[in-house]
Amino acid sequence: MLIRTGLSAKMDAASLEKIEQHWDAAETAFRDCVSKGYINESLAQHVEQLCNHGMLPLLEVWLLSFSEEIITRAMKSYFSSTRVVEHVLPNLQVAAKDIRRLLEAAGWLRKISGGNDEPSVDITWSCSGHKLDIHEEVLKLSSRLTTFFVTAEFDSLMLEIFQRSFRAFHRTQSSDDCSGLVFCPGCNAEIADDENLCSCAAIVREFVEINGVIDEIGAFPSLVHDCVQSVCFDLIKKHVFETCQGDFESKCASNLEQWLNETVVSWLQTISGQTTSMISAFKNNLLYFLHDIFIEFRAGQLFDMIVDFPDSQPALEDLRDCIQKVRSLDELVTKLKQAMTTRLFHPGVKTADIITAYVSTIKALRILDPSGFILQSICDELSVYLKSRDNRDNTVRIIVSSLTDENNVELNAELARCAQKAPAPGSYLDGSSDDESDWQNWIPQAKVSRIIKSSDIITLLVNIYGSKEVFVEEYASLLSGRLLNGSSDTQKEIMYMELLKVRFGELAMNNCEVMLNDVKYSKRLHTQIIQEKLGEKLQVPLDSLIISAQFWPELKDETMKIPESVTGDFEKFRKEYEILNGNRTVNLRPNLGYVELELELDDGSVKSVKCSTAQATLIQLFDGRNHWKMADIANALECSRITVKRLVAFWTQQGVLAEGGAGPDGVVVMGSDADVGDIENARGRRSLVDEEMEDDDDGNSRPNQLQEVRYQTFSNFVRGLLTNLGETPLDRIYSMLKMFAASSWVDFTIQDCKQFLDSKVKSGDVVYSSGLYSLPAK
Amino acid sequence: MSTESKPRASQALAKRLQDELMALTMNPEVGVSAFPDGDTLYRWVGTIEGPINTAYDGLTYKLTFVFPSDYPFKPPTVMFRTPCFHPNVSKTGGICLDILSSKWSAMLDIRTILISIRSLLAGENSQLSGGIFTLNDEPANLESKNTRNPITFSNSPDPNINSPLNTTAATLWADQKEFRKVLLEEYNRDVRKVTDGNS
Repeated sequence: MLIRTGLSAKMDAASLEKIEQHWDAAETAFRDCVSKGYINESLAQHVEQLCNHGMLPLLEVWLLSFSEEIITRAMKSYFSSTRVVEHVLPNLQVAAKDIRRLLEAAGWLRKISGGNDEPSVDITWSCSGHKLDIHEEVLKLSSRLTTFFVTAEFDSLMLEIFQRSFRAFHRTQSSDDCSGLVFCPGCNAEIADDENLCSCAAIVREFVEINGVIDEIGAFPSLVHDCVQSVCFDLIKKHVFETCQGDFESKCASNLEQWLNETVVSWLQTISGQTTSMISAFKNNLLYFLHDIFIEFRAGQLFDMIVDFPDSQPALEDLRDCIQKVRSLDELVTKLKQAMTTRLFHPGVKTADIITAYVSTIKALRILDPSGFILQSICDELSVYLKSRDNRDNTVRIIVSSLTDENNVELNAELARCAQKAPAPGSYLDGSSDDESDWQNWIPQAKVSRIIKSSDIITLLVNIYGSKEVFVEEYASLLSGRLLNGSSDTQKEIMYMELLKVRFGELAMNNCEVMLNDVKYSKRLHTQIIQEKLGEKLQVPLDSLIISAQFWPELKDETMKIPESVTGDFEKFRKEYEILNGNRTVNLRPNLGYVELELELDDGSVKSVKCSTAQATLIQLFDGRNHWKMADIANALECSRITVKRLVAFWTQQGVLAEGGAGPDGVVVMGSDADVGDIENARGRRSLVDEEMEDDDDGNSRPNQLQEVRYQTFSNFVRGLLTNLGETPLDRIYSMLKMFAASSWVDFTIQDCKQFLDSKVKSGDVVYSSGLYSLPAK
Repeated sequence: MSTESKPRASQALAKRLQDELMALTMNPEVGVSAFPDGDTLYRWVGTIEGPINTAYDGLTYKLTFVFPSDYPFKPPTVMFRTPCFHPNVSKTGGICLDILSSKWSAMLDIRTILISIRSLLAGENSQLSGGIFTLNDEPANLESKNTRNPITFSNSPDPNINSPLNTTAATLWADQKEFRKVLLEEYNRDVRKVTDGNS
């Protein structure tokens, strides 16, 4: 109708009538063509007439809408009738028949109209300038409509077909001998005797046929794409998981790619036959997916790879290559962080192990990701954990001690290495030269701090704390411990110090240098005073270490009465020293240093022990007396019972003393298994045979000793406070302690205070009643 | 000038008192003790236990210390807070002790004051305190030896019966048995009064 009215303006009724006739004829011919499968000869005539009147576009539009009708009907009936795998192909062929004819018609129309390509008389009909490829359009329409009508049910059917056919395809392609198997791995048919029973070939044939039809009617992408994809993806996933499990020592990404080409892609080519352009696009897709799966798989193993580090290098390089091909690193970072949290950041892991892991992480991630992005994210996390005092209070000590520990290969070697290539000043030049020479391949740099990128492992470790001071301090205290302990090799210490100087600078290591010089100077003095002058006059062989207290870390000061023989000898030493050094003098620090003892026990056995002066002093009390009360020992040594307890514990461990009872009346007896109730029987003498003392120096306050001192201080303060002020509430005690006693304990909280008081209440030293603390009545 | 020197002086004083507190707390003396009376270091509370085998055996006395800003060059003001029945202690708690006035020396400290007052109660001479110092002597530490061995501390803190602050006590002093009886009466009454007053 519309056409008629549209044309009426320019045409007379007679020609209009004529066109109408042509149109009707053409329409009938097309319908016949689809339903009967042949094209009426006269159709060409009618179409030509219509074309002459510029009505081709209209015809095409009509054909499309007609196609829609046909295809919709076909698909609807197809999808509703296809319920089992076996019906897929027959039904498909029925449905495809109509569509195929439609396509033929469209192709024919294209051919006809292609011939009459001249600009038509009436410009209005071709003014759009757009030339429709009617055949192509019908194909597209078919594809779209199929997508529209396809059901989930049908999808799963297709999937089944694809999986089956893939297995079958594999079976036919591979030359594996499967005569030993009862069922064919391809089609599951029994293959015991008769080869013909195997339907693999048939399956593949049928499959190819299905694909052919689907492709022909343009439904390939919508019907098959998802299936192919999921079949391939499943397959790739399975293959990756099977082949890459736990093997970090070889590269496998290239093997995987090869496998993908050999099996999956060749299968794809078989099934899809002529549509190769789509296959190549699809192949890229699959390759991407392969890398994706591989990375995802490896991401979960990244932590293991780091732990295995030097051995896992091939796997890391492998992964690196994949990452470069595929995508950003976010997932790797997330997974690695997760792994670290569950496997590293819990109290059961030793700090030393965490640091080892840290070092491996740095090395491994440098290989994995040269840009440093992953490293930066991970390092942040690790640093925060290591820095936190709640988690780890010994990080610095462990790092410093492993730096100078020959047994710790990694860090020790790292220290030596960094000395060889002096701190790199060239790092500033690198950036600019990159830009100039290779500007075409320039890629934006990851947002990574220069420290992460360019510094070596030690710098990164040091940067956990943001400053080198903590490390230098810790090194000084470590060094002082080693020097005082007499367990150091001065030559080696000097070497380490020089190495550290390169790193931390001359100034920072100043104190340590003085410490080492003290050692040298002491050796000279030893020769000058003890060997040359005092010699025979000394009661005990004396060795001395003169330290310049100002330069050494704070040394623990603990008073204790030490044997006369030692103090006497020291006085002689002091006199000689004062003669040598004008108006300078030395003080004895008996709690530092050590004593080499030889104990002759009751049973006649001799035991050599190296122990602290205090420990030696304690055991000397037992020279001639076999049992002591704790309180008496404390009195005799003029020190606190807590100290005595600690000293006794040492000798108990050595099996020399045994302890019985508790409190001030606790008894200490000689002999490891002496029955405390049987003290009278434990008799006999023990003598100090040889004693060598080292004077003046440290035992730097290790945390537990520090805590002990702190505990003692607090006990005394609380006693003093409660004695004088009577009953006192917690907050007042807290503020008083904080003001007067806790200057060294910066983060002393009211909870700490309460905890301390509670422990005192438990031990009966303090009474708590209605919110007030007081001393127990006598 | 005074604005500048004053905080420095008070800082030095605080440091000195803090050190004394630390020393006294970490090496407690038998029968005496002292602690700052609140949030300031300049007022302290002291506690003295009556010396054993004297009339004051088993009794506990509280004292207050107020430190002048030029301590240790001036002595602190020391008063008994618990009323003390003693020839040289007034009803208001004032103490007549030479080292707290004319014989004060900067070498003295809270520890020595407490010991002196305790031996004043005991009516002993300086032997007791001398003994204590030997006990705490540290051979390795010359410095502490000097500060802890007060050179001026040779005066006997024997009660001065001749010019007493408490004449009743002075007359009774000769008979220690009778003195103890009166002392206990006084003490029990006073302490009850104090505790009643407190509660």
